[in-house]
Amino acid sequence: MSAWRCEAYDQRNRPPLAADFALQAETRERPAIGAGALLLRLTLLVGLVGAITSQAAAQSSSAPDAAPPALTMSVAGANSTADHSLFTQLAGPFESAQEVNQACLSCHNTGAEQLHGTTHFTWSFKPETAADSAAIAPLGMRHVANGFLLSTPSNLGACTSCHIAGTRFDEPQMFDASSGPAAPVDCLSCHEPTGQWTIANFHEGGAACAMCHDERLSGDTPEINDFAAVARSVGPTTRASCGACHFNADGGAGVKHGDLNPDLVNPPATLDVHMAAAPEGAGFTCSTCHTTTDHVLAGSRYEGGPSQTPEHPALSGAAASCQGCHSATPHSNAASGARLDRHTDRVACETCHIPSIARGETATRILWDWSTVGKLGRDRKPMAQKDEDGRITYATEKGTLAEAGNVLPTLVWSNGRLMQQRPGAELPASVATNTGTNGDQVEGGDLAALAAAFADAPWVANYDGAAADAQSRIVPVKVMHSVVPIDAESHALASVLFSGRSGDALWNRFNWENAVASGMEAANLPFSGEVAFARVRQTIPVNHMVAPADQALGCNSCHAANGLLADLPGGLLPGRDGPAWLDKAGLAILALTLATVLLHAMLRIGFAIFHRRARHD
Amino acid sequence: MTEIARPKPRGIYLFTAFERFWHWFQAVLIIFLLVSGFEIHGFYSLLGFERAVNLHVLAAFTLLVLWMFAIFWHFVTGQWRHYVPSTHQMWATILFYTFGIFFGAPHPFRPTTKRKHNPLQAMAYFGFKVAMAPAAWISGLLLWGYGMFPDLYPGDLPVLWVNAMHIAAAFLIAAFLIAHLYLITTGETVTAQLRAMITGWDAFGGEEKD
Repeated sequence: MSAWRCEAYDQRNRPPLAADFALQAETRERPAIGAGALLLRLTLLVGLVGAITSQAAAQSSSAPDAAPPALTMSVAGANSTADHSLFTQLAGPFESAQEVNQACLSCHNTGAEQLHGTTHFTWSFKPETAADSAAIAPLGMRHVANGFLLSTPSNLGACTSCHIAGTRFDEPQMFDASSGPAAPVDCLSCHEPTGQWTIANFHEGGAACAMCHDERLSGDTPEINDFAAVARSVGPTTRASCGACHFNADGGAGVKHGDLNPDLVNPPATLDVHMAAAPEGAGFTCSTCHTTTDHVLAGSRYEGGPSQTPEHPALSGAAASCQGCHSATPHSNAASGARLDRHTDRVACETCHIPSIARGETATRILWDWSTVGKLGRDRKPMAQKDEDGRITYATEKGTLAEAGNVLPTLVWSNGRLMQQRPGAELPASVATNTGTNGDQVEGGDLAALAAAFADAPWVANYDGAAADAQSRIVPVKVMHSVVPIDAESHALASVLFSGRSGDALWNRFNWENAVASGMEAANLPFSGEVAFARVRQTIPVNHMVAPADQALGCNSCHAANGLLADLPGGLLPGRDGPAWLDKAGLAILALTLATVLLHAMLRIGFAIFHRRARHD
Repeated sequence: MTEIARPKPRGIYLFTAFERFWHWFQAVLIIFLLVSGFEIHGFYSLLGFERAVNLHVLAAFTLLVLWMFAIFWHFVTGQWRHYVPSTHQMWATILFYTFGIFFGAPHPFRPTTKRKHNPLQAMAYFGFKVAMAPAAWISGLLLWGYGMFPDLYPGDLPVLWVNAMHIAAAFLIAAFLIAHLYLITTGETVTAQLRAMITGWDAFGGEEKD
């Protein structure tokens, strides 16, 4: 990786970054703003009049293919009357990021307060929409376990590299602004438009390398020298600024999400019709759909089921759903439109319109086997092994890994409620332990072999939902396969201390017992002292990388005996379904008729030969 | 072939032009509906699901229009009487098909313009017209409406049952087709009945009895 220095902010000298294309794309959209804004006002007017009598009226006014009004929102910042590059408060010089943030907050004086209540700050999500929300413990990154970097409580110092504080911290109390000292807020983490600030900030902040990198890279780390230039560059969030964290979630580019990776910084329309630059795409940024109210973003994998439609027309608030813009009957312009619309009460939009994930250059991780951690290279140092395509198959710090590109999502019934396990959750006693994959069954990332090998593995996270539930839809998910450490006695999902100065940290001495003991202590969980490993699975939501309409799944993809839904029961699916007894009975009748006819014909021929008599003799 | 009484060299004119047009157009449509229908049901892949569905619907509505004309024709011309079930000569016909046919016995029934079909035939066609065909088109229309006009679909009617009825009707019609194709070879000669349905003239038709 090459050094990233302050010159990068010198517009004349710097080489074009991928993010620049995003900025240029937004600039190109400007001519459309006038018309778009007019449309927006018109639509709001209609909406205001209509909202009183009928919410449906407001929805239809923002209905299908109405990209222009929504587009206006994506460039609302570009329409701003404030040019931050000219503010004297941002002229600098600044010695540190903290000074930049103080300058920001000198005008935006409620910014910190707004952020303190957001999921981006608290990493905690209290479900409010669920009827039994009181019974549900808070979700969110602070609380849940997963099959990637396992869980945060034991690794706050490493994980908070990605926190909007812009600085790492160890104390869980700092997530809670209501009592005691809270973590700071770093405006630049989201509002520096190239995302390079955040990348550089990770590195300068002393993030553990293995959190994002599978192998040790040579060369300089990115760094920031001119805080004033950074400060003057601020603006609305961009694909690149959001992507600095979200495209690299849980261990590097595209590792966690097949549908969110750095390919989306400047995607072609074939990869994402919404985020590709106009005119091929709609030129959306993340916040076009993930609209904000007081810094709170709409759209979270913890809330909003696929059936919640379309309570939030895009123009009157939170938007992050397909129906918000496209309505629940979006196919009116298609040839078989009515028949396609008929699917929306059972099939989520994403199922057909995101035919595969990780369709660009970046692959996504499908296997993470922690049980093989710790094999050192010949030089007694951590090492990485790669396959012939250059993909990492083993890393000393992480174990056996496999990734795949152009992955077909798995289709499941979902009501939108993610059932998420936590560190300390006890897996069923029947779960086979110490069943590492050793990489042998899954060489080369064979997804079918992986799915078969993990067919009985319990879920650390999966969607609630069933065919019989009217609120459930068929949705696409990425299924992650992991072999994770558990307490050998209680079968509880283990918290692990990955990094830090302590000799107990996994990445320092590769001693599982010590790393889990420290991790469980940090997470306030009991530990027997013995570590085992268990295969687990996890569903990762798929909502991005919407393909152009002509690349959506066709009828035959599912309406076939061995189609994509062959293994997902429920619903009436002509081509796959039919009462089995009826088919048997029907085919039996056909066979019987045919047999009778043939027997009759043979008898006629036979008698004709032996009798050799014409009729009526 | 032994000479039998032939009142006219060409026999009798049994099937009028419209009747033959109706029969053959209906035959083509029903065979196509069976082929495309069983593809939609998932037995094989031939046209592709979407095209199979679209053409199936098109053929089905064409057949409904044809049937409307045919029903009108039947009532206007009084030809519906041919399909009224009758037990007259029933046993004789059954015995012919189970025994007599093998030993060269004469068919107990001879078609006339007053009664074109033997009792078994009339019963089978009657069953097709009042049971199999309506089961297919009523359930088919419901399924079509379920897809195209969900608001009009009766909510408490399980679509899986409607689908099952449609499939059951299709199997029965397919069985009917197999039997029909074989039984037309049981005329006076193997091709006599086929020729009658093509030309309209039945060489072995009986004289008017009244």
